This record gives sequence, structure tokens and C-alpha cells, in this order.
Amino acid sequence: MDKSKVIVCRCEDVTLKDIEECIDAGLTSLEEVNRYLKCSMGTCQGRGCSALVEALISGKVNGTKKRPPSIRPPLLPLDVSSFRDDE
Amino acid sequence: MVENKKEGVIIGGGITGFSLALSLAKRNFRDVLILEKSYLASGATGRCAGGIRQQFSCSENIELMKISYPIFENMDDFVQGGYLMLATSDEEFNALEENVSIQNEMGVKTEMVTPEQCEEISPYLNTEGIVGGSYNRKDGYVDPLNVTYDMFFRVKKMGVEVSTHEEVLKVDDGLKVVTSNREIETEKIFICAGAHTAPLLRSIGINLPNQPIKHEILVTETLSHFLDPMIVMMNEGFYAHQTVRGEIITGIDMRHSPSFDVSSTLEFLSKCTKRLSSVFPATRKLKVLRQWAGLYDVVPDAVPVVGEKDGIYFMCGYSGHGFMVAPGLSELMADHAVYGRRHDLLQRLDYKRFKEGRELGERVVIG
Ligand SMILES: Cc1cc2nc3c(=O)[nH]c(=O)nc-3n(C[C@H](O)[C@H](O)[C@H](O)COP(=O)(O)OP(=O)(O)OC[C@H]3O[C@@H](n4cnc5c(N)ncnc54)[C@H](O)[C@@H]3O)c2cc1C
Ligand code: FES
Repeated sequence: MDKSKVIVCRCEDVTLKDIEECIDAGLTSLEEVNRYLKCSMGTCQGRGCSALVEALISGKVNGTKKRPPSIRPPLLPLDVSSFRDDE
Repeated sequence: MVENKKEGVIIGGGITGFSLALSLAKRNFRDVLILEKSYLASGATGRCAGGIRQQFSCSENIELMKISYPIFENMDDFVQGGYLMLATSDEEFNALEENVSIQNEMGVKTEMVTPEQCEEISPYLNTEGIVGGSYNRKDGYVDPLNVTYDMFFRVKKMGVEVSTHEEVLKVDDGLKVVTSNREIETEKIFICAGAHTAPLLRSIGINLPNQPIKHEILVTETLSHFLDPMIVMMNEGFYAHQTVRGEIITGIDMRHSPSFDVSSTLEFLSKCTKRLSSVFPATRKLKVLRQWAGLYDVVPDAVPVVGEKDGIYFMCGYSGHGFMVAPGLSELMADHAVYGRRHDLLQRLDYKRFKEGRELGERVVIG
């Protein structure tokens, strides 16, 4: 399998190879991998990739604590103009 | 309990901890352990906007940036889009003008610009109500997470050890560091714990005037490139810039009271988006994807605080501009700790300034 062709995060084009290299280089938590590779920071905010990335990390790193990543508001994308009186 | 010995221990895995580790390692001081209570860059560093500017009013900050700026300028992903600071009243305009003359005297080439020039610099900007501004084309930004994680890779290769999810519970004058799972003996301790630095220092009898203040920030979906500079409005601490990824990162001051709370508020989301949509009407239909908050470590004069007592060194109190000053300050600190050479700036930034009536004063605090 060519790991550089396996896309894990579709919004940000992050591949299996990127993620494995990142873990090997020493970033071993979901927070760190996400922040370095920007997976979960795409338009879907990780809905499509977070579980996969987490599974890849726990497969490679012993004793990773499973805890849900912090949820950042807004829960759904919202127009910049949502709060304007003239909208 | 695991006993441990290290030549140096750094507390805090943010920009200060890593740039200091790098500066120490470059001076061959490498038997160092970095302790981070959560994940790397989990503090203000990973939450900040990554803005790098030379536009300050206080000569100490301008001097510091003369050391720090070239470090950023040499980074591959430094984006030199400039900083455009905007005034909406004559008073703000005059203050900007005063800052610019101090900067010019110190060799920083910031210029005053008219509303028409602002429009040229940033064509989508709504210049209604804008009296003018100050502009430095060499200012810019970097992705703070990439910078910090790249420093992590570099110091690891140089032999520095990094331990995450290990919290320092106490430092004592006997140069002992007590963490959540061991005690470490060391020759030098460097406290680089951001807003948590002041509380850690209390156990060795140092009381700083620092206060943790929450500042919020948000990011939109990406769109094609339309904005070069970081836009700053002097009246409400509003700022916005577009990253190379295309997203807009923006914030505004909410005047939160001191606390370690970093939860997001609806009030911020409302205030900041309203302002963004009036400054850049073209963003109205853009989606906000995410908001978060971090702490400014605030001192009365908004100039960094450093110090040393019996082998315990610290750097903090950066207010809203710590990411950009930390690499330069780390160089000075490393010279002090390794070679015993104390740069004159460290003397002026020393924490005793508050007790000795040598307070400085920075006017340009953003966000
Ligand atoms: C919203 C926002 C926007 C900003 N924008 C900018 C900007 O554009 N430009 C700029 O220059 N600056 C900006 N700043 C300021 C900047 O983020 C900070 O000044 C800077 O990141 C501080 O870095 P630091 O490493 O000193 O502290 P931090 O990044 O806070 O790092 C300290 C680390 O120490 C750890 N720690 C704390 N206590 C302990 C303990 N007891 N044991 C172990 N570890 C511990 C923390 O978990 C943390 O990771 C902004 C800040 C915020 C909040
Ligand atoms: S799939 Fe990763 S952010 Fe959308």
C-alpha cells in the first residue's frame, strides 16, 4: 500500500504517510497531530477524520489516553453577518 | 518515585520554553528537560494569532523585536504582509504618529498613511470613518503551531528531552522540581509557564503583579487570497488577517476580568463578527468555523518581565505580544544563563522594576 496515496483527512489532504511520520517524529497525541498537520481544521472541523486519526495514534502509541478533543463553538458553521441587525 | 538529575529544567512547552531550549542548545547547554503539563503548545502559544510586528511605542519592545524579528524573517513560512494600524479619531492618529516617530528614530521604517493609501494597501477594506494609519510593510505573521513544533523537532535532535502531560507542582530554592510523578534535581530552572509563571514563583518568595486575562479569537472558512496585511483598529483592539491557508483569523478586546478561565463566549462571537463584517463587508457571507480563547499574561506596563534568583530564571508578562518577543528574549536569557553575560535590556526588564519605580510603558496592546 502506498501510504502517501491514502487520504485520512479529506478537507486538508492529509495522508496516512503524513500522520505516521508525525507520530514517529514525536507528536503523539491527537491534539498535537491535529495542530501540526491541520487535520480536523478543515471545513468539516474534523467530523470526517478525527476518529480515524485517533485510531491511527492509538495503534502506534502505547498507553494513549482516550479522551474526546475539546469541542469548539459554534457547533455549526455560521455566517459572519448572523448577528447584524441589518441582516 | 523516580529520582532524576538534569543540568537544566524548563517548565512550559510553549514558544518561550522551546525558543529558550533552542538558544541554550546552540550554546551547548543540552542536558535539558522540558516539562509540559498538557500537550505541546497547549497554552497561549497554540491559541495566538502569530502576528509579528515592530510597531511598538516602548523602546524596550522595539529593541527586543530588533533581536526577534530577524529570527522570524529567516523562517521559511514567515509571511511578510505588513501591519496596517488604523485610527478612527484624531487622538488615535496622533498616538500612532508619536509611535512612528519613536520607531523611525530607532531605525524601524514605519510610515503614516492616508485613508486613500489604506485602500491601496487593502482594497477590500471599508475606510469609512478612518482618519489614517501607520503601516510597516515588513511586519507579518507565521503559523505559531508550525513554529513551535518545528522547534520541538530541532531541540529533540540536539539532545533535549521533552516530557508532556507532566505537571510541575512546585519549585524550591534548593533547585528541586517536584512534578506529578517525580522529583528532579537540577542546576538551573527556567520557568516559561506563561500565565502560570507568577503562581509558581510565589513558592520562592517572588510576587509579581501579573494577571491572567482571557482573550478570544475566531477563524473563518478559507477563501481566495484578498488581504495582505494584519489590520488593526486602535479603538477596540480589533484585528484581522488572512493566513496562507486562506482563512481569516480575527479577534477583539472583550475586557474580561482576571481569571484562568478560557471558555468561549457568545458575546465575543457577536461583537467580533459584527466588527469584521463592517471592516470587510465582503466577508458577510463567510462562515465562522471555530472560536477559542487563551490567556494574556498582563503586567501594568505591558512590557515583558524577566528575572533570576539563585539559579531560577523566568520570562513572562508578555501581554498580547509574547509570541513575537520570546525568541529574541530567549537569546538574551541564554547568554545570561550560560555565559553569565547580562544584556542591559534584561536589567531594564527585570521584575524589580515594579518595586523600584522603574516601570516602562507600552501603548500598543492589541486584542
Ligand atoms: C488570542 C490570543 C492572540 C494572541 N496573538 C498574538 C500575536 O499575534 N502575536 C504575539 O506575539 N503574541 C500573541 N499572543 C500572545 C502570545 O500567545 C503569548 O504571549 C505567548 O504565546 C506566550 O508564550 P509562553 O510560551 O510564554 O506561554 P504559553 O504558551 O502559555 O506556554 C506556557 C506553557 O506552560 C505550561 N505550564 C503551565 N504551568 C505548568 C506547570 N505547572 N507544569 C508544567 N507545565 C506548565 C502550559 O500548559 C503552557 O503550555 C496572543 C495571545 C492570545 C491569547
Ligand atoms: S476530513 Fe479532516 S477536517 Fe474534514
